[in-house]
Amino acid sequence: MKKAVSLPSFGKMAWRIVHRNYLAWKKYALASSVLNFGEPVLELLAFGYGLGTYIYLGRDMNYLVYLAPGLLAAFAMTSASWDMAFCVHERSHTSGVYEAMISAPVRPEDIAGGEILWEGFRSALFGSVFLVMLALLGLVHSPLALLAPILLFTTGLIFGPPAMVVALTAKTSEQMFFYFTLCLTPMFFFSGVYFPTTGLPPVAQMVVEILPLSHVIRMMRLLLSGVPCDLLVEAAWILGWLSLSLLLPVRWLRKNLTC
Amino acid sequence: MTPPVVVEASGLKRSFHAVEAVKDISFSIKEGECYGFLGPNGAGKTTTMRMVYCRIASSGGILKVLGMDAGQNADEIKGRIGVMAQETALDPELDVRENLLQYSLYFGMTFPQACQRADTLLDFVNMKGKEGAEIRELSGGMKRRIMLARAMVNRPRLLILDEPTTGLDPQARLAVWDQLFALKKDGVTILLTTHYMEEAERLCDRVAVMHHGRILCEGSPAELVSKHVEPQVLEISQAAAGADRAAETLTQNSMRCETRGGVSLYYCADSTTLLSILNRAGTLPGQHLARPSNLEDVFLKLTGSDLAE
Repeated sequence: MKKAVSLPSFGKMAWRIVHRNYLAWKKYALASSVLNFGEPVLELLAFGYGLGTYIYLGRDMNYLVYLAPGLLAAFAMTSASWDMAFCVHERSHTSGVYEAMISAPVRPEDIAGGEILWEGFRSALFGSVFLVMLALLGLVHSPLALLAPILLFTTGLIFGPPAMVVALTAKTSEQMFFYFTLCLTPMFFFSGVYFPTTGLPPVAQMVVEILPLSHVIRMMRLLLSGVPCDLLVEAAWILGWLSLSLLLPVRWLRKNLTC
Repeated sequence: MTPPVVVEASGLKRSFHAVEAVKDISFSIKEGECYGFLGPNGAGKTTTMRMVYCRIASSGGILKVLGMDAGQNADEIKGRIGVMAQETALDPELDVRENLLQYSLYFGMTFPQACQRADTLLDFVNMKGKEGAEIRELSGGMKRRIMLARAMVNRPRLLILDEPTTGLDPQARLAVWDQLFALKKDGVTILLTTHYMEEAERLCDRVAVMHHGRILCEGSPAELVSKHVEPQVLEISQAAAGADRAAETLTQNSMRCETRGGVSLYYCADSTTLLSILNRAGTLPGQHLARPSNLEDVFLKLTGSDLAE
């Protein structure tokens, strides 16, 4: 039953998995949304309106305007990662949801595709709500912001698959915190959400340049605040990470489900 | 004309690393038949079932399901059979109706078709009025009925049930049996595992007794009883007054005697003969039971009454 191709499928069956996740999500949509928005809003208040008043970035840039796109991009990353990791862990290790799917004619590549698409939509939806909040606060300065949902969707697609692999390989849900604490949190702090990466030591800068979040943030800053960046280079990095991410989950899912 | 064969296995094997769970078994199941695997825990029943429903591959031998090779046509076979297994629980994030609806969608139905199918099946398992219930609110019996309904979404002609009634109370078990009888009447071929002998005797046309990964014997429950054990048995509780005195007489006069679970069992051709001998000797204990032999006697004789694990 081994197949050489290990890419997620985004066909009809994947969309049916998306439908399943929608049915499951709509039951607790309100509660999960409030929890989801709590953190970025707090960060915006504490760092933007609090600490930000002491920070001077020059006459052309308000710190809040600098911070907002970074928070939005990082929000898409963390929200997709947490949701993916905990849902997949539950469905693969505890509740037997994947086991039941695989007994029906659903393939591991359909499950992976469905879960990834769902995280994409989720990031786009939640991110867009946060974006509207930012706009209402007067922190969006470019009409290009209308394209932000596409970038949010892509961000979900980049960060969903690694979280899925983490969930599939972690024996207990506690083990997943290694990924969050050692990978996501440092990326969140040093990829240019709060301060430009140019302030980092050269080696750290190199690492941050390789990791995906810094590129998503620069792209987001272009869309929301009109801060110019090397569009082609950033897009290439983002697409590169997207391709790499999509290569990951199917083989792990097959291994987890032993098929 | 003999009915077509639905499942055919020959020389089927499966090992997990060094452990041979299923060692070279052969069987065939005809259309419309109810076929049961009996065996203690660890006998290889579930592994055999998992190979039949294409969840795991075999390590050797031939396995054909609905005329198709299980290794080559797994996806097509999965689309045409119904499975209710121990590990495929209901989706706890969805309610009762959504479980059936969503599972119908996995089998390729359109949304309106899936809705209609979900409602029909809720009716079939008498769960109307519980559509919106959360899975965790349901009793074990209700969950099992929904799992049975879910196994039926694609109108399968072959239904595979791994321990369909384990852990259910008598009422819930009867409710599941009712549904299985209805399906059998409809001509659905059923393959099941159980360790309830009564279940096998009531539901199965043929059973296979499995032990240590092999099939020890196969046949209709009545055939197995007449072939492997004496026709009748006299049971005497060891706690009964006079059990010791009776034991001497009975051991001499019965064909075979066994003790298990605090009860001595004396197998014989005709229990009335034994009873009259005891009566004459004046050693008939008050607590005794004379009954025809059944599948449980066959099962315990063949697989031993020691714990398998």
